[in-house]
Amino acid sequence: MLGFAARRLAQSIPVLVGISVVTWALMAASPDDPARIYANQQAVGGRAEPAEIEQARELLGLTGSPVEQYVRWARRALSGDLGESFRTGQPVTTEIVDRLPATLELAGGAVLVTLLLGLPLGVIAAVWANRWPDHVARLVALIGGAVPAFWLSLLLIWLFAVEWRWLPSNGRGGLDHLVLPALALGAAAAGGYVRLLRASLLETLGEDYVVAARARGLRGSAVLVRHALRNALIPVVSQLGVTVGVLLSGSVVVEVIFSWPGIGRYAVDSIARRDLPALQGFVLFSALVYLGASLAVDLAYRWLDPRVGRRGAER
Amino acid sequence: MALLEVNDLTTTFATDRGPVRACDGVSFEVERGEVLGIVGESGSGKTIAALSVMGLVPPPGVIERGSIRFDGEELRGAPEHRYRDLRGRQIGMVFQDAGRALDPVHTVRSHLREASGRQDDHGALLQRVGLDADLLDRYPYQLSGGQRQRVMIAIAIARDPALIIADEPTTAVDALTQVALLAELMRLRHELGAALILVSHNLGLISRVADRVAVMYLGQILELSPTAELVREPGHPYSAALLRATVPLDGDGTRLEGVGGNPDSLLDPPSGCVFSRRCPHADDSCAMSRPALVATAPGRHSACHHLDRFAEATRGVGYGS
Ligand SMILES: Nc1ncnc2c1ncn2[C@@H]1O[C@H](COP(=O)(O)OP(=O)(O)OP(=O)(O)O)[C@@H](O)[C@H]1O
Ligand code: SF4
Ligand SMILES: [Mg+2]
Repeated sequence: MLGFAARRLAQSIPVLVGISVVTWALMAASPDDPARIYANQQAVGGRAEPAEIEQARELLGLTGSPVEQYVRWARRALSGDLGESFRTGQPVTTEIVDRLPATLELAGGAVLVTLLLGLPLGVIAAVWANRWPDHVARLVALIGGAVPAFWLSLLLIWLFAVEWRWLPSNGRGGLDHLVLPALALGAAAAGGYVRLLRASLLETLGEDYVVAARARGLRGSAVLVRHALRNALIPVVSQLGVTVGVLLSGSVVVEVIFSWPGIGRYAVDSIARRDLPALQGFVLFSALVYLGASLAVDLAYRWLDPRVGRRGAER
Repeated sequence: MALLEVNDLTTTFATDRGPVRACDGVSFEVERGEVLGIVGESGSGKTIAALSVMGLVPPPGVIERGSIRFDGEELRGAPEHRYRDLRGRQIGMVFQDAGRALDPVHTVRSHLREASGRQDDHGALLQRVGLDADLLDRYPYQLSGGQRQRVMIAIAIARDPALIIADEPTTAVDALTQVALLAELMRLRHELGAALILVSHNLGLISRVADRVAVMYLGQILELSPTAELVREPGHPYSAALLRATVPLDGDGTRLEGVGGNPDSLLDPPSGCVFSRRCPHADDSCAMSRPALVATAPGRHSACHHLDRFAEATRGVGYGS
């Protein structure tokens, strides 16, 4: 397992290089001259002199050939230095790392919501296939998947925070603060899981090994959990990697609506202020989180399916 | 009272192209300690008959008619928990394709733990079926076809059942392994004193070990006779055709012929006798009405309108003559 993890990490190196190029290009290939933006923001009257702009260009490392620029940037990035935010003058890395736990908490909560809604509904839909519990589960999934996160956010705020005053609607705090944004973010993805698990479980329920498990006198619940569901979860887990990506992009909207102090809201603020280094930090960290999630998913996948990538004992 | 009494079993599947009667009025008995062979071409309903007895007919199949008595107790309509007590404990089943009937994500040990209900001693169970205890922590994909089939047998005998149903236990393996597996199964059955229903499309194989043979075609039993008699003098045109199409396991195969014609489909079964489209002795009356399975001699049963004509024509067709 460790060897596999190491191999899998090594395989992500080309992806990382690709991500770094894109991130770097965000500043270097920006249609507006970053040096001018920076210098203007620093200048007292908001209008920088040409000399100040050239100074800024030097400071931002935007001199020399593109290759030189990239190597300079990448070397600093590898040591954890992504430059300073135009807005605050603080190191971008520190600002992102400070906000990352909030976003991970939100994404984690959303994944939990997705699974807690999606998996039971998927099981119900498959076990009672084509009967009323199935129809209800699929209707819920359809509605959940069709409602945009921002719309659901507003609905949840209106019901739970404004009308009933049960839960807070902005900021980060205890678990109660997490509930609404996690619901808003996670519910949309749950619909896909209902459909995926239903189809996958219907297939495994018809497999010979499920009939054979019943033929050895196993009770229905044990057959369902240990054989049918256990096998049906394999494709579900491989889908989780994609979902993490969807949740990360979705979190931008939800973080803004719920004033959640994560990197999504940081990114929106940065766009508004044309804070390019901060945006670079956001892109890079999002990609890293996504890569980390797919690595975790691959490990889980291997653990679930003993056949994956193992050779030698086959005869 | 026989151990298992199946009477007029009719199992139907509703399909897009109309109802399919996988078993159509099937009746047979299995005595304690007896070996009953069920033989028939692919699609004749052997597996569905076995699954009907186990109460495991896959949807959309339903048992439409008939009775299944095990040890005197009516199973048809019995509650699921009653079936659960029988499955594995009283009736063990060896599935046709062990490669699909073993769960790919569970080890051999995990299968045996479920089958035996015990936490240890699984190595001993493996040794009983001629496998090394080292294989316990293997996954099914890490076993050969023969080893998988033996694991299936170990699962079926884990709780000393009174009846073993072995559905084509040897089709997925090579000829040598087939013979070894069959010998193993017979030895275990003998040790346990269990009755055995041996399902196969291979009459040659079945005739070596079965006390009696039921010949199935299109969901119906066309002949049910003691093996020796059936092989010496088949009591039905279809049995005779099957016998001619069988490679004797110890012969040179020179007598080999096909059954003749293509197997019919359950979607469009012939009217009257199900064998009428392929039978050399058929006449108009055969397509008119379905012959009943009736006693023709002590212990022998056959479903044919023209047994006299057939007997005349086929004297001396069996192995024994
Ligand atoms: N799930 C199903 N849906 C519809 N029809 C089915 C289903 N399972 C079986 N049948 C029908 O029942 C018939 C008998 O099937 P069965 O599996 O019992 O045949 P078999 O004698 O075991 O054949 P084989 O030697 O190929 O295993 C099939 O030909 C098919 O028409
Ligand atoms: S009833 Fe007719 S068709 Fe059927 S087996 Fe007898 S002779 Fe042949
Ligand atoms: Mg079969």
